[in-house]
Amino acid sequence: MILLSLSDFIGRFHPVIVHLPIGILLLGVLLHWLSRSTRFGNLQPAVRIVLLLGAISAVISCISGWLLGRGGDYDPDILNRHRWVGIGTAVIAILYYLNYAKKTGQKLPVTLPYILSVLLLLLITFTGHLGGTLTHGEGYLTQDLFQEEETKAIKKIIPDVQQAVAYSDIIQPVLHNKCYSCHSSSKQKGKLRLDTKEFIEKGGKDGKVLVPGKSDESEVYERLLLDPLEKKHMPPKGRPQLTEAETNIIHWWINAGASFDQKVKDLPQDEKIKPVLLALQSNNIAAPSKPDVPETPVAAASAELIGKLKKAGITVIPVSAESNYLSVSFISVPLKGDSAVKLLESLAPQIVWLKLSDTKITDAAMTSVAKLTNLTRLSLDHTNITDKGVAMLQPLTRLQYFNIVATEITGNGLTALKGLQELQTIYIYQSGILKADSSLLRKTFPKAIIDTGGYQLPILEGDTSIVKKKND
Amino acid sequence: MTKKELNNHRLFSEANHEALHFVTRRHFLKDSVTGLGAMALGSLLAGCDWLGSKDKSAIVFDSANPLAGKPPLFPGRAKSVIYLHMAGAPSQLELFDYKPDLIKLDGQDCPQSLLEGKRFAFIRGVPKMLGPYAHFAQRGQSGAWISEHLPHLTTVVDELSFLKAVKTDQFNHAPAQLLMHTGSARLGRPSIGAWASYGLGTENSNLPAFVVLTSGGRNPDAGKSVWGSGFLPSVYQGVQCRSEGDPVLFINNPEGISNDMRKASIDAINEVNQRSYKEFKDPEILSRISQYEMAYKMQMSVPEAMDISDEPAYIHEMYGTHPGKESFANNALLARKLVEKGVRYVQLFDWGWDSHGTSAGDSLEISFVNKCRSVDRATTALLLDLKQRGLLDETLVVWGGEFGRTPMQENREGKVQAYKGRDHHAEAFTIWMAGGGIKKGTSYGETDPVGYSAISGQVSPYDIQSTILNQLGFNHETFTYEFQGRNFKLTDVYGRVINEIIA
Ligand code: HEC
Repeated sequence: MILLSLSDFIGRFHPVIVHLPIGILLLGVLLHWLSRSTRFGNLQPAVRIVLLLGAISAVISCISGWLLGRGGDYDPDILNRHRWVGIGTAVIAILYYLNYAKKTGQKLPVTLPYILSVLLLLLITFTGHLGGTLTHGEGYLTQDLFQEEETKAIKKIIPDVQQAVAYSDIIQPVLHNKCYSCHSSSKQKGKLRLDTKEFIEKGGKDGKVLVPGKSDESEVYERLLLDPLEKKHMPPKGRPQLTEAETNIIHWWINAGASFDQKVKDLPQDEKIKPVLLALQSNNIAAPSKPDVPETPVAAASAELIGKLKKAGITVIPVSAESNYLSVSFISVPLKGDSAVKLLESLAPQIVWLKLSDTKITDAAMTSVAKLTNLTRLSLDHTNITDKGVAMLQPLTRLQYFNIVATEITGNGLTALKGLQELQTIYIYQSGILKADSSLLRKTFPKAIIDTGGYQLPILEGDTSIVKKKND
Repeated sequence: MTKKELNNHRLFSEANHEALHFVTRRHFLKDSVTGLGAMALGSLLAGCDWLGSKDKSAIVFDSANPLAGKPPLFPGRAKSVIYLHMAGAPSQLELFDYKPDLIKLDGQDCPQSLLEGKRFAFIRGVPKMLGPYAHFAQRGQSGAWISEHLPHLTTVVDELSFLKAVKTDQFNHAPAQLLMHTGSARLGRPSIGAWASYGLGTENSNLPAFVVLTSGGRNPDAGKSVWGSGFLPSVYQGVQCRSEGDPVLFINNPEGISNDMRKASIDAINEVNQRSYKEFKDPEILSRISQYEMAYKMQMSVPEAMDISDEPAYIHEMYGTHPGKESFANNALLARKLVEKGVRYVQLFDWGWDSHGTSAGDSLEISFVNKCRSVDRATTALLLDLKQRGLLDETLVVWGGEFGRTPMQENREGKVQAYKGRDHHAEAFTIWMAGGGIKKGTSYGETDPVGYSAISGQVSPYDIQSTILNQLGFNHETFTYEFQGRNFKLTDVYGRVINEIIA
């Protein structure tokens, strides 16, 4: 059995051979330049030999590269560029040698060898980079410099899983997060792309990878089940793996017909998959669709200002060790009043979470709070704040969490904050808001969950009695 | 020399001599070695640092103010944790892990395959299978299976995330409790609460960061080590409070000592400590000073924070509390109050869940049902009360025991027991979490048809600990404390954040 044809075999040596012309030609150029000075004049004879060897090895590299490029699964665009720039490099190397060795006959300008040498250096660098891109993937050179360039994991917000489109809302995000790095526009490992319906249906180098209705014949699923150490296991080891739920969902989707446009509710669901699907749902989760800390960094607040607050007994803690945003709480100093709140104004860019719960503040303090326009969480519960204070808070457009438990704020008063589009949860237990206000509030804040509290537990027999005897 | 001069000289040399007594040969060797070591380490570290040590997460221990509020590594979804530990290990098969097949097998011999190579605490020979002593139904939108023993909790299942395939490797109470809370079955490691207060400090400078409340008449089997600080500075250990009598033992001034006098004596002690700090520069002295100050502040604020009698009547009705008694319900209400006041970690232990079936007092038919009744209402009330105050969003609630219970009926000494009961079981049990950035209404993990072991979604105590730390804003792999020359982690080399239940 012949596993590889001879030409394929030679092709495999390309990654090794390429290093010869790179090294030799660089050396040649270096010697050429050095030999200009009288101190190194005696290097001149070496330059010729080195340049000759360099040109020969460049040609061999081109041949082996050509052979490798025919059989491998590389990005055709980049491969093409690498191929022709590489051949160009070899041509220039030959010209450079001929020119240097005065084999061209005609009289040429004396500066020509130098121009050629610079050109050669540029070409070597560029070819090398393209080759690296082929093997390591696009952007490998700079990926550690610009980390945010990495493909960001996406997470779909699914308010009601039954209404979600099975492919685009559930399956595609999984493929995006776990497979696209090797199977989409940037790379096509196994000649397979998974980023559109057409590509998925087309399959890879071994043909179809998806058989609707038959997960056990679909490579896209079967490969997930292989032993993680096996080479064919997907995603290959060391890469982020699929969770059990994700694997189960792909299994379900294929067996349900691998539809690209149907909604979940139109697909058959057995008892096993139901909880898995439900777990994707985020409607009953007060999960912030936006993080409650802004993504754009902020300059650090001055230590002096923070020190001033701390001296007043106010708790000031960065939201995380790597963030300058601050969380502020008056929990240790419940007797503090409006004057202390005024101190916060100087930290307006940094404060994102503020707890004024159970303090003696009055509506007047809200003029200061209104200046903290980066606030995402604000607790005013158990205070004397009234509608008048709330009306001042309209500038807090980033507010997501708003707690007015046990205040006198009324339904009408709260509607003053209609413009706060980011509001996600409002806690109004024991406030001045009446049951009758609920439809008004739902209209005013259609996106927010309004927790009215007042939960009660019925008295059950077991709450007050104990079992003394077996009842059999 | 005059006589006075001579005297002074003598005094001086005596004082000098005395001072030298403090410097023993050991001190000398230790100091010189530390010096050498420091030099070597300094150059080593300098050598590493320019390579760009990424460890910005190292927590600075400020001995003058060890409980000052500190930021987590990344913004945490939970600001506090309430961990409800049912000590003795409640039966998952009577509460959450519904196994209809086990009903059919009730009374039959346990198949050999489940016994081979296994060890049990009390089961000997071939036990009989035991069907669930409970009726189950699916509840809520999430369709979670839950038994009638927890009728109130059934109404809030859509708030909970069940972990149905927790596996531990300890089948005795004390080591299993230690493993659950300290990441090691042996003594000496800090508890999660201690790690949390080390990492986050306290939000409220008048209250401890980590409070422990026990009910059920006894402390957990593993004793105070389950809330100990291990090798972390002792300020981080849990402060045990009580709902009966004085909230903290010895918190009141002894008879005849007024508050002012108390303050004056603490000031005097601190003054002396300050002086010895100036002399010896031992940071432990600073932490002692701050502990005295903390203790004094707590004398003022703890009794108030721990007083549930000022809560309105409808709250007492909701929780089923009776102020002045030691009860799980009182502790649950206290937990809410403490979290509201900025305490980071509230650990509840409720003793008495060890249902072996050897007598009425540890039977599934009687004592277990009564235990369920004693926690059901209060647990549910706690969840709802946190929710309506806007606190569930930022408080992680965890409920569970140290292991599970066998699908077989216990046959201690090979005999049939008078009551239904189950032996300790490490292979699979259920724990639930809620709030603090955990998904609502889900379940992760599955056990086999008799509930013996996990068939999918198995998690370990380390995974639970990693998840708790993650919700607080820490990476369990980088959250370390250097002790005896190496960096220790709560989860040692194990642990995986259970992303499947994180919202
Ligand atoms: C780190 C890169 C990488 C990632 C990520 C990756 N793959 Fe692959 N994949 C490969 C390579 C390399 C091959 C070709 C080698 C082979 O056939 O085993 C391949 C081949 C395949 C094939 C076979 C194509 C064919 O026709 O031969 C399938 C199917 C596949 N991958 C599916 C997936 C799925 C599904 C995912 C995501 C869950 C994934 N891969 C993620 C590298 C990757």
